[in-house]
Amino acid sequence: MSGESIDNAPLELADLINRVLDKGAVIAGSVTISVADIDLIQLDLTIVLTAIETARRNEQRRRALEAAE
Amino acid sequence: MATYLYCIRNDPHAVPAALTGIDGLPVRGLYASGLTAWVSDVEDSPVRPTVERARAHDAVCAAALAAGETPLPVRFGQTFTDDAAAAGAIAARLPALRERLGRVAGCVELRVVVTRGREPSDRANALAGEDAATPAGGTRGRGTAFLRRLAQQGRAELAREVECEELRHAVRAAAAGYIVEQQRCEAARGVSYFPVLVRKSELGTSRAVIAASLPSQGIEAALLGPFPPYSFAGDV
Repeated sequence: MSGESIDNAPLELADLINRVLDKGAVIAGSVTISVADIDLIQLDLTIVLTAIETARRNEQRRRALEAAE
Repeated sequence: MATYLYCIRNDPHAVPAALTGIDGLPVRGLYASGLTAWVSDVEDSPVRPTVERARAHDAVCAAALAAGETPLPVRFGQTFTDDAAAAGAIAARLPALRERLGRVAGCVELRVVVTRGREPSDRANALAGEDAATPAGGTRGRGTAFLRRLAQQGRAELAREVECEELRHAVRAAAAGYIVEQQRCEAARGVSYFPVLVRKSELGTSRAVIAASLPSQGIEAALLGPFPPYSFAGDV
């Protein structure tokens, strides 16, 4: 279930962002992530997820074409 | 130039050669009051989060976990003016840091992520049916449709939370002997999940037992990990 399979990649990426941005020990008096920064990474995440989804669709299309040949 | 903090360890294990962190800068060990912090320089402070930087942060914490003792992973974005300031902050929180390190010693985090809730189509169909019904003698306006959509989203989120909690209890019952600690379900960025702390020495069996318990509730879920114990590191 873990691993970098293309099907799990969006899930693992979203989970990584949740883990790293929201969890972990807070040592410093100030954690330097503002709401605007979170919006930025949300945008990044959307772009990456869209790219992965496109890659997945292309892969499915390629397999369908191969099967049809 | 500032000092960026990734994780804290009890042992003075050397940082693997050529390990790099945020923006490809080298990671080094910083001795602080008997603990070792893995840090690197960063050009910009504050460090703005990007997917690549989040990956780099996680990779350093994962490398620390792979190096032996379980580290205390630190949340993304914590910078200090220099090494002395980082060491000072660690010294100021020494008892709490030692307590946290003891709590996660020998353990790793697994995360159960709900990928599809129970009977979502039935729920959606029922609500769609309500939307389709037209009141006698008139039509519903855009405002009503908007409020209905909000209610639908709210109900779906609530249902997902309830299902996630049901799954968490099922996992707890099935794998009680392997779970050191477990936390409640959370939802963030469209993902519902709950973290579980298990012993590194029992990782294979723990994974197998937890994975086997997942389908029992009719909810589709993925088991991710092992990870450094971010969810059990807490605020210090």
